[in-house]
Amino acid sequence: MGIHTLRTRAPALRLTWSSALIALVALTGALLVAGFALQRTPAQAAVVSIDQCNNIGPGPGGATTSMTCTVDVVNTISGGLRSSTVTVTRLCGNDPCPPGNGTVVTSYTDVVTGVTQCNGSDNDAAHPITCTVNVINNISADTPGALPVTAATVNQCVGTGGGGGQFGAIPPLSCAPFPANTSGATVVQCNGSVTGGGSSAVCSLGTASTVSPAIPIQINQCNGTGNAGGTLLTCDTNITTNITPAVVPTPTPTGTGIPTQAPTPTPTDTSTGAGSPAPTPTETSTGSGIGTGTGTGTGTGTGTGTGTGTGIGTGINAPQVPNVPTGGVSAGGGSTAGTENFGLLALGSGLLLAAGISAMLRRRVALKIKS
Amino acid sequence: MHARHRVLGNHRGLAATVVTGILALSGVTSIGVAVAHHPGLPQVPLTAADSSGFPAREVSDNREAQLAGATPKVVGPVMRTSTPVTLAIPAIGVRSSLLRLGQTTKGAMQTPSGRNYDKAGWYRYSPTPGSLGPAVIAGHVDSAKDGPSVFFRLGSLRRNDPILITRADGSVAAFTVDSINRYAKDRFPSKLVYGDTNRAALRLITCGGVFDRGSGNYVDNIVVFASLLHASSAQQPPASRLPD
Repeated sequence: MGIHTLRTRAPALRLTWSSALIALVALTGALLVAGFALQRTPAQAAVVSIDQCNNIGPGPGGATTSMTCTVDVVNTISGGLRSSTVTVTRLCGNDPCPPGNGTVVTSYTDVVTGVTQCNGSDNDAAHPITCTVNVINNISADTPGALPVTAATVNQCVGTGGGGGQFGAIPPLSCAPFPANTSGATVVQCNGSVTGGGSSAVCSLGTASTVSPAIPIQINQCNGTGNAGGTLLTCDTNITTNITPAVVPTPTPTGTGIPTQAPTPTPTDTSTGAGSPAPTPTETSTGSGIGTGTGTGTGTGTGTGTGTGTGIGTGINAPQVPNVPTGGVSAGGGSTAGTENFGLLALGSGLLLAAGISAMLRRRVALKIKS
Repeated sequence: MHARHRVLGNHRGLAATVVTGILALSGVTSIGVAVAHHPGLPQVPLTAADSSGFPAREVSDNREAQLAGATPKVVGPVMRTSTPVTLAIPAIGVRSSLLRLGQTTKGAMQTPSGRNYDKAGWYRYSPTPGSLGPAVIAGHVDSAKDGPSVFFRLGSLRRNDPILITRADGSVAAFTVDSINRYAKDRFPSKLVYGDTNRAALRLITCGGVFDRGSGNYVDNIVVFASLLHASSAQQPPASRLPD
């Protein structure tokens, strides 16, 4: 019985120790992970992501008939303060985009670092799909990690098209830049899309798009979308990053510095005076008298006061147009100045000249025959 | 023999006369077509820049000119930031969607090109129309291939003509023209056009003046200065009214 007891308890004891060891290792690992996470958290921006127009399919009324989705983001970091204003526009025909079609403007107390839209959508019917992301980052120069500002990278139009044919006169793939298969790119768009026949993808990243380490933004749009055939998919992304001068406010006090409490003088000199009449002793050895007198005294006092003031600084502000283009603007081709008709005028003049020569020859021949 | 020679001579004379007539008629027709199809010259403002590059007469009448470089308090309505979508100038029949223009590798402002040649474009480094500062919009006056373009009649605008810009948030920024000026490109007044303002301002830029066939460019720029008069609030249209 005792052996049985020993045999039954010994495995239980080993199991307990192994369980404790596993739990200890797990706990240590968890604490390490948690500590690592806690250490990184302060350096990361709170995540504000914009998601819309994803996984849109046919609705109760049938197939989707249109999809146009736009996200405009203005991120601002100035004086350590982070904010953003986001304008989204949604238009999903026949199956409204959740939470509904229309334009919505939202302000956030942090910057937007992710935009995800138009993915896995509209694979049920042929029609144009247009999705646009515009981001403007305004970052004051005193922001940690504001520099360097580098060109945004893109991964787009991979595994897209190829269904045969094209949409109208538009080539199956009109992607700029192309090829663009950077891994971990800022912008990932138009991949695995418009694989049906008679479809075209027009996708681009603005040529002047730039990013800053201070706002590590990621754009994902138009992936796995518009695969029904006969689809025109147009997706554009533009990212502008402006480094603005640091704002250094110069406070101007509004207080006057005048004490609000008048000083109370304290005489430093005691009054002196001579009584009159002076007591006159009587014949007895005792006497008494009452005398009155007046006295004058002068005193000086000092007072101290404190004033407080608040002011609004007028420091160095960023120019309203941070990148001023050089020189004038070349905005004309010159046709209305007459260049396009120059050839026709020359032809007419040449013909008239030939007619004149012909007339002269005719006259010479006629005179010759006559003579 | 003499009579035969005379007959041959008469035939040659008749043929020469016919050829001469055809040549003359073709020449006149060609010149006529060239002149008839010419669309006329681009409109230019009444005032032109003097040799200093600044308007000769209107500078005292130009509110922006007086404000450039100064930092007085903000005057007039100012709207929140929102990307411009369309431009309409009823006085000269302009209606265009708006592109986003950046800079060329040489630092000049980009202009619309390709299939978007005849559209106007917003300079994306300038404030959005309606917000504080000088929003800048550029467009071509014409093209060598197709003739007049979106801003062909820009120079014929007059003071107080309205300019309407619809923005992405659904609001409409209504500007009125303050002045129209012409500047030589090599003396373009960048500070006056792009400098800070104390109001929501707008500049429309196109080409003008003499066309230099050597360089293929006009020598001047036409610049319209305008100020925000009224801002309509953004309205969210009901879903039922949106086209599918």
